[in-house]
This record gives sequence, C-alpha cells and structure tokens, in this order.
Amino acid sequence: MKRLDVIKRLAVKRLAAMKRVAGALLLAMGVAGVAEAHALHTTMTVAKVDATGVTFNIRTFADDFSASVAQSNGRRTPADSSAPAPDALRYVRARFAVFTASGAPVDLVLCGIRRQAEMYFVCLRASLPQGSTGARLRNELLTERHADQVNIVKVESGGKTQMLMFTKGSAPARLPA
Amino acid sequence: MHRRMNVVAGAVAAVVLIGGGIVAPTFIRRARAPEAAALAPVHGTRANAFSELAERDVQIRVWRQALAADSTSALALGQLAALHLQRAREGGSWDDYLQAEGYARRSLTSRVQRNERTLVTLSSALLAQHRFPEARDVAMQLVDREPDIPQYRALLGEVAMELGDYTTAGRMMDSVWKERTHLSVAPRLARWLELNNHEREARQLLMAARDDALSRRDVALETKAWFEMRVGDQELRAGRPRAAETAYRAGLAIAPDDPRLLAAMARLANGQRDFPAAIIWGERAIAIQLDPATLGAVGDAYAARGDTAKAREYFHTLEVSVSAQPGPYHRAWSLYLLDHGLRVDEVLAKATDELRTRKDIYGYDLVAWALFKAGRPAEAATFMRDAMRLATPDPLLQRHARAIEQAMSLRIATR
Repeated sequence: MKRLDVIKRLAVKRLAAMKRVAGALLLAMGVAGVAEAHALHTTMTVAKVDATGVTFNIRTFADDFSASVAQSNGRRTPADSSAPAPDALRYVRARFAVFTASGAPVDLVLCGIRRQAEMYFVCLRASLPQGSTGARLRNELLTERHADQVNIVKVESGGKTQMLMFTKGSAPARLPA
Repeated sequence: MHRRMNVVAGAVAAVVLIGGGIVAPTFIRRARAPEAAALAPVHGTRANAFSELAERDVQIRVWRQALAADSTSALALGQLAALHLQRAREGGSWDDYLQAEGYARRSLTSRVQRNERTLVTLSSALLAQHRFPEARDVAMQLVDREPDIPQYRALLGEVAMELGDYTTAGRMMDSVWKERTHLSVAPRLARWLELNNHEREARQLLMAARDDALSRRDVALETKAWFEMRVGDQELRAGRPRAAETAYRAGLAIAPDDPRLLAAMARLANGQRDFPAAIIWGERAIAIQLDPATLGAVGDAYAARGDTAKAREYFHTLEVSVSAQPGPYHRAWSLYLLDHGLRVDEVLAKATDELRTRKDIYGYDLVAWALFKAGRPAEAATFMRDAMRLATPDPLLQRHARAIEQAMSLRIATR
C-alpha cells in the first residue's frame, strides 16, 4: 500500500511537468502526416577495426533475440524477453563469426552485454594480431527466425566507413582492412 | 566502442536528470544507432533533440507507473498512447505504433466522453499502419462528436485524401480554410492544394506553417524537422532542388540523425547525379533506420558509379526486406522494385488489391506503372488517366504518364 502511495505521489508530481510536454506532443500528433511505417526485421552492428582486431557492437530487439537465444539453448522463451549472458554468447557465436584470411575461425570474446528496455546491446571482440586484411565476417543473427531479416554492419576502419548487408544465406563478407 | 557506449549512457543519465526525469540512466532506443548518440554534443540544438528523445523513455516509464497505480486510468492510457506514437515518429519503431494503438483503445474503453485527443492518437496510429478505412472511421467519430473543431475535420480530410475519397476530402478542406494557418491544418491543406494543382498557394501555406512551427517553443524538434522535410519535398516536386536542399539541411540542423531527412538528401543527391554524396547520405540513414526505399537509392548510386556488386547487394537486401510484408507494399518500395524490374507481378497484384479500398491517385499511378512494366501499356493508360484526374503537378506522375503515352504511340505506329 505504501508503495502504491509513493507511485501515486510520483505520478501526480510528474503530472504538472508532463503537461507541457503532453501539450507539445498532442500538437505533434495533430500535424502528423502519414508515417512511413512498416514492420521490418533488422539488427544493427557497428564494427571498429583497429591494428589488432575488430570490436563489434550489436544492437538487436530484445524479444526476438531472447526467443532465439532460448530456442538455440533448448529453453523456453522467457516472458520478460531476457537472455542470460552465457546463453546469449553461445547463440551469437553460432551465428556471427569472423574468419581470418586463411579461413580459420577467430574466437569472439564477450566485452559486454546489456539490456536497455526493448533492446539488447552485445559487444564482441575479435583479436586479429596480424591485422584484418582478408578477414571475413558472417552474420546470420535471427535469420533462422525471420526470412526477411536484414543484418546491417557498419564497418569503421582507418577513418572510412563501409556498410555490409547480410540476409539469410549471405556468404561471409570481406572486412575492410 | 564499449567504453564509449558506457560514457554515453552516463551522458544520457545526466541529460535526463537535467530534464527533470527519473534518476535511472536510459539509452535512446529504437532506430537510434548507439554511435549516433555517442557523437552527440551536449550543447545547442542537438542536445535539445537528444534530451527530448531520452525524455520520451522517461515519460513512458512514469506514466506506466501511474497506470500501475490505476490500471483503468483513461488519462494514463491516453498519455501512454500519445507517447508511444511520438516515440514511433522519432524512431520509426513498429512496435511503438502497435502499443500506441493498444493503449488508445484501452483508454477509450475506460472513457468515451471527453477523450477526443485519444481518438486523434488512435486515428494517427492507424494511419501510420496504413489501416486507412479504420483510421477514417475513427476520424469520422471525432467529426461527428465535435464538428466545430477544425483540426478534426482536417484529420478526416487527410484520411479521405489517402483513401482517394476526394469528395469528402474537398468538403473537409473547404471547411477549414478560415483556420488554414493552424499547425494541425496547414500541412494537410497545403497537400490538398498541391494535389489539386494549386502549387503556389500550397507553397505559401506550408512555408508560413513551417516558420510558425520553428518559432514556437511548444513544438517538438522532431515536428520542426518534419516541417522542413515537407517543405523540401514540396520544393523538389516543384522542380526547385536547391530550395529543397536548403530545407532538408535546415531540418538536419534541428535533427541531425533524422533518417527521413538523411534519406531525402540521398534521393536529392541521386537526382543531381552526385552519387558519392547519395551513398554517404543513404548509408547514414540506413545505419539509423532500415528503409527499403533508401536501400534502393543507395543501390542506384552504386550502380551509377559502376560498382555492380555493391548495387546488387543493396537491391537484394531491398527485395529480402520487403519479402515478408503481409499487406500492400509501401508505395516508394513498390516503385523501386518496378523501376528495377523486380517482383513486377507481385507488386501489380498487391497494388491492384489495395486499390479496392484505397483509390487515391498514387494508387492508380502504381497500378498503371506496374502494368506498364508488365508490358501492358493499354491497360496502364486507363489507370494513368485516373492517376492524373486531379492534374497534380508531380514530376513522378508526369514521367509515368509520358512513358505510358510513348509506349502507346509506339504500339500504334508499329501496327
């Protein structure tokens, strides 16, 4: 009961502050034209290439990611769209891979995973002591879930940016050196 | 990168605190790339846009707490609906549109009377999902209840325009002429004027509304940027690419990571045959929000530069991304597919099906263009006549009409 009171007080306190914003929002609603909205399935990864390897920051929607992680680990899909780090890493390593120029798989080390509301952010590091020349990337995240899944990787290397696009069945793509 | 992301989370927390939000740090989600946030300086317009976006998450959280205290509160449900709709507009998230609709319906179940604003939210959420007949029903409810409010009539006019019900659209738009300077009315009326070949009046009206929006403190930055985009689009259709560029850049000065404006710059650059710029703008847009039409624009730019492998990659991704769409394709995506000879029969079938319920001139144009691409120019000509029935001065319509006419002439000459 005490907790409810606190929440109520909090809500009432916020109400005045929200009023101004709500007014602006409702004005925005009023001017809104037809939005360009369609459901699309996508993940976005930023890859930063340096002298000794590549750091990947993957951003994915929590509900899909959680379901895929659970399925690949033989568990039930959690109701809260969570994904335990060890399970998540196993799943990501199975569907996201880096290969050296000679085709050898590179070990991906987890450098962070966090949930922010409906998103998961996964950080991975691929060590390439000989440099990334000739290295390739495979990204099949969530393609087992959605036939229209598009995985975008923005690669930043030597001050240049290059985009790589992955869909179901895409061959590994060369990472810029 | 990881370290930078943590730094950003801290920065966001600071902004949230300054903005009077909840202490817990948050992160801009939905179509906002982490690196985009990382680059955001904490001063000037961009900081305002940044804090506005971060604030949206906080607002949603607060109203959810309010809702937890009273699960049938029409006010809390209505506010959550409006907030999700706004966040969707800022980030283009599909789930947010669905949540906006869900909350709005629950709010209206709780309270029908004095809840017209939620009806507006519901109608907007349905419009965004391209569920036009349902959006029209809701807009009609609004006008029935409050016939004196011009914004509601303008909303119904807009939905009617989208459905090709130009009689209703005309009636509604005529009725709001006196209130034409209102920000909720002006852009809709301007579009109506433009459709009906009153380009000069449409331009004046839209520019005045844009100036008004820019000068007001109660208008969200996303909305200000949207006005610049509308001005830019109109300038481009009127054959003034420089003015369009000025407007798009002004919008980007307000919202530097607005994917719609970045994509507009890509299309503009393609039109000016500045293909390297088109690739840069387009890829910036895609890194924030995947849009098949932008994939097509970047693919075109690569193709024009002779990089066929990269162009193929983009066109293939475009095809895959639209492949599972249950309803009609987005018009711009359909045109890209047709222009590249992709999925012509599929686009034709979907566009023809959509025309049963949505009979606007762009629907007729799409069917005409699909028929033309399918090698059926005579049928295409019939549909194109319907597309041109308002004499809309849109270069896209004119280009299609010319091509179909030429094909018909050639066919007659060959016979």
